[in-house]
Amino acid sequence: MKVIEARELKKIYGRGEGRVEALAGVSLDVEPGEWVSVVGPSGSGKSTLMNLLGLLDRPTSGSYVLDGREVSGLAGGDLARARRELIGFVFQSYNLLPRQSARRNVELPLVYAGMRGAERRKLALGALEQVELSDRAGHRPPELSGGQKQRVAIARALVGRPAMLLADEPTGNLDTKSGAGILDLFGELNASGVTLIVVTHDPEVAQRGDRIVDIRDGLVFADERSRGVEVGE
Amino acid sequence: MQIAGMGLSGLLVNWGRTILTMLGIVIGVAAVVLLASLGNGIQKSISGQINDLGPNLITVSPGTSGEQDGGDNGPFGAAAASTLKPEDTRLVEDLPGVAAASSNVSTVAPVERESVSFSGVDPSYNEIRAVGLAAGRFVEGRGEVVLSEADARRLLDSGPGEAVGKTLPVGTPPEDAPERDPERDPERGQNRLPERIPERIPERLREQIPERLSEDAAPEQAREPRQEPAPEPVRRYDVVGVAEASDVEFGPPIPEASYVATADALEISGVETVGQIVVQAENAGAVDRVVGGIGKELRAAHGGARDFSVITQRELLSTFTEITDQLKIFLAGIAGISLLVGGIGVMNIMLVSVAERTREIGVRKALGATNADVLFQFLLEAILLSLIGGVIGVAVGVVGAAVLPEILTDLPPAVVTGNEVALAFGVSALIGVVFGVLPAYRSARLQPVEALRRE
Repeated sequence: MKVIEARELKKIYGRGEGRVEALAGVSLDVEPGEWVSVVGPSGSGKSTLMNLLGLLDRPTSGSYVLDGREVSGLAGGDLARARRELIGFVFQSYNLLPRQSARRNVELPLVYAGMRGAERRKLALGALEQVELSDRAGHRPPELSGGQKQRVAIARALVGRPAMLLADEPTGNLDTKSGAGILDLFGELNASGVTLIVVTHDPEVAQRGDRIVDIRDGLVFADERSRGVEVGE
Repeated sequence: MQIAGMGLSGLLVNWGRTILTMLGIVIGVAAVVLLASLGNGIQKSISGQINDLGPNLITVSPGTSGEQDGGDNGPFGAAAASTLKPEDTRLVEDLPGVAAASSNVSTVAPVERESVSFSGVDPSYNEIRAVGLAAGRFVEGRGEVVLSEADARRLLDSGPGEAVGKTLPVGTPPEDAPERDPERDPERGQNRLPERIPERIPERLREQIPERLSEDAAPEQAREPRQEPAPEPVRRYDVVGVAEASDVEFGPPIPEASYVATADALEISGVETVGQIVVQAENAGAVDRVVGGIGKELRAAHGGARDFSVITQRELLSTFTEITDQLKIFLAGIAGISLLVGGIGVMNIMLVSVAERTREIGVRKALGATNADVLFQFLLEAILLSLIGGVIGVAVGVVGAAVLPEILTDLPPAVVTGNEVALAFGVSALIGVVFGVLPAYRSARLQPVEALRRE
């Protein structure tokens, strides 16, 4: 079973004269354990695609099967549940709650899943260990470096054991060294079987993936094996 | 439950703002509790005083009730245009169902350069109004006076026990009369007028008294032969009793008055009509019959004119209850406005909070929060804000209701009842819901994409 089976996804904003076709019909399959980089110039529709894949927005038309479930028609509470169970988000600007400790930030998705305190705590600490931040569990985001914040965010994305991790410019706010650290962490997670979709405009970041999907003018312009992986193999 | 924790932590995060917002609710709720309690206290105090008059009390006042409503004399002391005569009191006294009746004449007379208020009443007055006596007995005939405690101290420099048995000189001593009468000596009188304003009433009365004296004054009264007309004489009254200081503020007598016989008061004031007739029915069931009897009998005696009005204690009570009910509504209205302002403050803060935390809402939604989760979180924040504010407000209001009448001694003690507390508390919770719903709804409706896009 594929993680993602998207068929002819379209997203149209406005109507009449002001009508903008942000996505003109994108089809995309992602296998479990794949690392897919989504690239494209700004205004190409890659952010729109990410929002659709992340269930943050609903397609105007097309079908989207995520982890074997048709999700394009979901709304309200079902949509929120699907997001919580199937997708882990990693944002460029981390989006941690600044006044909560790292552990409590990681627990947040589990809170909405209705999990009990002790279990939540255990899973959150486990996820922080996975990103090598066990010793920072009690720190608040302002007390952490950029790389550490992004690790907390990754732990938060992982903690619910989602079908895939969806990262939007995960190294965009980081210096080269911290960025490399995050990409190494992604490599380890991917090696342990985590499916990754990384939206980026940085070619070096894109090359770390197995596949590069290039979006232009709302369509898939190219979808090919990355050279980096081919060289590695 | 965890989401409830988030609501609470949302308040703590911006605690300075939270406290300021809460202050609006605190003031509103405290105002409701305090003003409602004061209103209760005033109502209780007034109805208590009217109840003290006894359920069988009937008051006959001059003038029709229509005039009384508009006039500033009120039902209690329209001495100026009185149509009631002492004979009317005797008529009323003989009606069936009447236990006792007394005239009541208010007047002012000089006593050794002081002006003193007197209530002229019949001996039966003591049965009707139960004048508390600190010493001695009540007035039983002419030439007797029962002093108020204050007057006994002021005029005779005596305590209640010492005053009884002394005599009280009522009237102006002859040697003072020429000097103290500005109308006889216009130049000096005018010069003195400003510092003598309090004595103007006795001086006016002094004009009337000599006229009466020329008819029936005792010949042994001293006169100044040179004066024309004669200055009023000093008549010595026997102090037979001292009345206790009373806390009754409503009812026929002028508070803290000294009592003399009706005939003496009429003589002092120089009029022939009484200010009021107070009547005691035999029992509460006889009140209506007596009221009817008075109406019929006095009308006949007055040649068919209904130039008097009859008020029962029950009517008095319902009149004042009506007034105090309106007062309570008025006070509650003022308090309600401040509570409304507090509520709008809550809404304002919640809207700001939603706007500021748009991104947080987006993150929460991306992490799987449903609309209901977000709605609940923000609504809970608003309700918590209002409820905590409400609890503090009730405490402040209850303490204020206890303390304020101590500071402002004119206020009767406030009566805090569960109703007011429950009302204020319920309203503050309601404010949380009502004024929290809009911001919470707006936050819940935010699309995660929109919310995440904002910085």
